[in-house]
Amino acid sequence: MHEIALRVGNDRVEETLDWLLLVAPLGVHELERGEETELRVRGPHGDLPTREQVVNTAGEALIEVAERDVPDDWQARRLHDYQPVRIADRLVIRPAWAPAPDDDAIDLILAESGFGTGEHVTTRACLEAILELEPGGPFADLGCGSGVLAVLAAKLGWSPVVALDNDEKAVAATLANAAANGVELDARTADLMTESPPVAPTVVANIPAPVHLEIAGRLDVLPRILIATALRIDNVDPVAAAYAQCGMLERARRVEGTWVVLTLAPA
Amino acid sequence: MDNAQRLVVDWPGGTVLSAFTTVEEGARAAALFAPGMFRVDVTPRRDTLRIQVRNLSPVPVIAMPPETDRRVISQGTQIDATPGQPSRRHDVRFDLGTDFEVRAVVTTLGIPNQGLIQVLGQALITPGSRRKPIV
Repeated sequence: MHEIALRVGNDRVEETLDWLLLVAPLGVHELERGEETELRVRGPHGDLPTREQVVNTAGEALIEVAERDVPDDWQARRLHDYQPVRIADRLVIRPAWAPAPDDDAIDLILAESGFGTGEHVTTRACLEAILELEPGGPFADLGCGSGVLAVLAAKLGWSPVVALDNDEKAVAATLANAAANGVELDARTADLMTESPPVAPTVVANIPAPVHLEIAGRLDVLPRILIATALRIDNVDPVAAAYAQCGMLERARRVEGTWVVLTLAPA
Repeated sequence: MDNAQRLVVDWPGGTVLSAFTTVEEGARAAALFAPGMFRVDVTPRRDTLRIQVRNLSPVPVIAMPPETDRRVISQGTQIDATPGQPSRRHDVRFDLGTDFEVRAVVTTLGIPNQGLIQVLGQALITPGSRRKPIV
C-alpha cells in the first residue's frame, strides 16, 4: 500500500480537505504537528492521485508533500498512525495494542467498549480535575461508562473505589478496564434516579442534569469534593443551585466549548 | 478515484442523498456530499464516531436537535462484519439558512481484522422557511 502525506498550515486544512476527501480511497488521516497538519492519504498506487496532481491542486496551501510505502498489514498501519492521548501531561490513555508511554506518565489502558476513548471534553476535564486532587480514601464514580475515571482513581491510590452505572454494558466495560489495568474496584448497576448515591469523600458524577438534580436532593452525607459533569452551559446553573441548596458550593467551573465541569465542596 | 458510491433521488417535497464509503479507522471521510451546499464528514476512531458538517454554501449552517423518534432498519446477511453498537448510528439535523432543512442519518459497520469501517449516510433535504437564521 502506498501513502501520500501533505503538510499544510492548520488554517488551510479544511480547504485542502474539500478536494482531498473526494479523491482519498480510504479517507484522510489528520495528524496535527504544532501549527501544521499532516494529511495522509493511502491506497493502492492506481487509486491515489499522483504527486503532480496533489501539488497542482493543493497550490499555495501545500508546505511539503512526501510519498512512502506503508505496511499492507492494517495493524502495522494502525501503529503508524497512533497518537497517544495525553491528559495534563501526566496521564496517557491508550488502547491495549498501543505501546506504553516511554516516560513516567500514568499508563491507563482503555479497551474498546462502546463508551468512547476518554477523549470527550467532559471526560478530559474530569480526568484533569481528578489529577489535581490529593488521592486517598473512598471514591465513588457515578455514571461510570467505560470506568476510565474510576480506574484512574484506583491507579492513583483511592480505595475502595465504587463505580455505578444504570447500563450493564458499562459495568462490564468498567470491570474489564479495571482488570486490564490491574486495579480492583466495585462496579455494579444502580438507578441513581431512585437510589441514594454511595457515601464517599470524593465523588465524580458524569451524569445527565436530571440525575444530578435527583442526587442533589438525596445526598445524605456530603462528600468532601464532588466533581459534577455531563452538564451544558444551558443547564448547569439549576444543577449548581440544587447542589448549593444541599450545602455543596461551587468552587471551580471549567468550561470546554458548551460543556461544563463543576467542582463542589461543602460550605 | 473517490471510492464513495452516491445516489441522489427526488422525493416528494425534497431530495434524498444516499452514499456509501469505506474508511480506515482513524481517518476522516465524506459520508454525505452535496456540492455547493454541505458535506457531512465522519471520523471513526476506535468506538467513537466524530461527525463534522462542512458548510459549502453562502448561508449559515444552523445545528438543530437530532431526531430520536425515527427508526433505521438495517438488514443483511451476517458476513465478515460486526454490527455497529448503538453509538454507531447518528442523527444529524441542520438548516442551511432559511432555504433548506437537512435531516441526515449516518451508520457505521466495522469490518473486523481489516481496520476498515463501512459508512452509510442518508439525508433528506427539504425546503425550509420556517425558521430565521441565527447569525
